[in-house]
Amino acid sequence: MVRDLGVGLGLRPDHYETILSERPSIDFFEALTENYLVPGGKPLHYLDRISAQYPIVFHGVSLSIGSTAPLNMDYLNQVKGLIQRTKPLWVSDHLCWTGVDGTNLHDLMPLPFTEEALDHLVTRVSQVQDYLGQQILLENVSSYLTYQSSEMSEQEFLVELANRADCLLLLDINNVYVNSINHAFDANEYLRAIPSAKVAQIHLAGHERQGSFIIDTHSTPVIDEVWALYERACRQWGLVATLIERDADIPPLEELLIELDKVRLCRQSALLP
Amino acid sequence: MSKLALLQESFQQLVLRGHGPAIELFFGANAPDFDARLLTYSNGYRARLVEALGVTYPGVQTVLGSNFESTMMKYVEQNASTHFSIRYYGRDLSQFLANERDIPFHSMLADLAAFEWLLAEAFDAADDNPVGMESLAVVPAQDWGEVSFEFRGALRLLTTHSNAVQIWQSLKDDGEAMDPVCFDQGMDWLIWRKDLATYFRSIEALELRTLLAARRGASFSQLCELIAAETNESEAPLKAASLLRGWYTEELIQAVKVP
Ligand SMILES: [Fe+2]
Repeated sequence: MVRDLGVGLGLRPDHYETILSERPSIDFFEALTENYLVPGGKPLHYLDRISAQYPIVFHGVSLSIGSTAPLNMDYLNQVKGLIQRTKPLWVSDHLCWTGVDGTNLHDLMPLPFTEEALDHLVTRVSQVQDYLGQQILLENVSSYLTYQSSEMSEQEFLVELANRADCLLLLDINNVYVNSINHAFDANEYLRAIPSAKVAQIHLAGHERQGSFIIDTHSTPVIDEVWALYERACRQWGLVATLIERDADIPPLEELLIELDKVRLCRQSALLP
Repeated sequence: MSKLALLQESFQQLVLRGHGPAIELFFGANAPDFDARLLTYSNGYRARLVEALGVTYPGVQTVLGSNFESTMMKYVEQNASTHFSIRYYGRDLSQFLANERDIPFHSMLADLAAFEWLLAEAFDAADDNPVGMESLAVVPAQDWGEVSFEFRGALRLLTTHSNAVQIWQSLKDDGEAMDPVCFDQGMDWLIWRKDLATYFRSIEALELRTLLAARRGASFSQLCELIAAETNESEAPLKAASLLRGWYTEELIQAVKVP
């Protein structure tokens, strides 16, 4: 079992100063790995100070674990260096690919849910875990197109990967909701298939409607349907470290603290019989 | 090529070029809003890179105004991102703008982009510590001529042939850009970081030559010779000492090397 870190927030430069001066009551921060893979200066200065006062976890976007291009060892080496510097409680990235042929699309490109992709992922995840000397967390991503070639459901794929590669999951409940609309499946059924022992962290975020589908923008508050799914997930998995992500239209910290209180309430009510 | 590799190759081509070989093998094209869903990927790719360029090049963005997006789109079409971090996207923007002869004041914009790229480099350059004048106190008098200096990692130099840096400053001060002017004569700039803040100033030709020599490892007496050759012999050591004092005050030096 992974330790429940409580209720956390994505660490964003807009909030650095407020965090240090006001020491808000937040249980942990999730820092975007790539933002700190720089030689020095402000980003690392603030990360050092904030990590001295709060537990930190890292969340990357460029591991490209599902890509058929070779693993980027320069990237992994720098991540390893950052882990040694900051000593995060864990490191996560996304269950996706971000490019081939040396190109980085800087997007979380979806994988088809096939045996071939699973085999490929299992090898790569163990390479990464061996190299970093720790289990990693992989997050389910939002996607907009449905692969005809998929041989299983997204949740089957996720569970199979976690079991076979011996990695952990970062379950983004908003992404489950987004995909349940985009690919027309039952979000509750999805969550029921995920065993609690594999879920180390949860993400909550907002999104934007676009006609018949939803785009995962992280630009708005969490919607009621996602809160409802979260409550159900809490009951099913017990208390899991939960984080609110906001990447665009970032409001002042106080506003996000109110949303974090809502997470706390959900967690408490899930404990009630 | 494996099925997965073919899929990724196709999908990436689709995002980058708008057409991917055999893409119909992977998607059911009769899904509702299929085209809009595809565009989420290809438009998203472009929007993210243009946004990243705006973060690194806020001055270029303000000066180009409503032409920023279309100009950056052209850059994006010609330059894929190859780094794992989007922070390093846009390295060649200055060169690109220099060649965009149809854009008004393109050479000033090229200078401005070069300046903003170097500001970004100084911003997150490796941390090192400055030494003060006291580092010279330990040098015995007879060794003075032989000492040399190690400069800090964030230090950058730039030559402009326009008032791009002044325009950047005017944008910062009151949000208004001055009129662009180009010069035949180059103007040199020094960019560096003190604690967490980035600084810049213009640098005169003699100081620049002295600084470049010092950076290459020239000793104090070699710096005096260089200055003497351009001014006059008797004032050279004084001039060298005064430049050095300035560099110390600005925290440009991280070590003194005594042979
Ligand atoms: Fe997420």
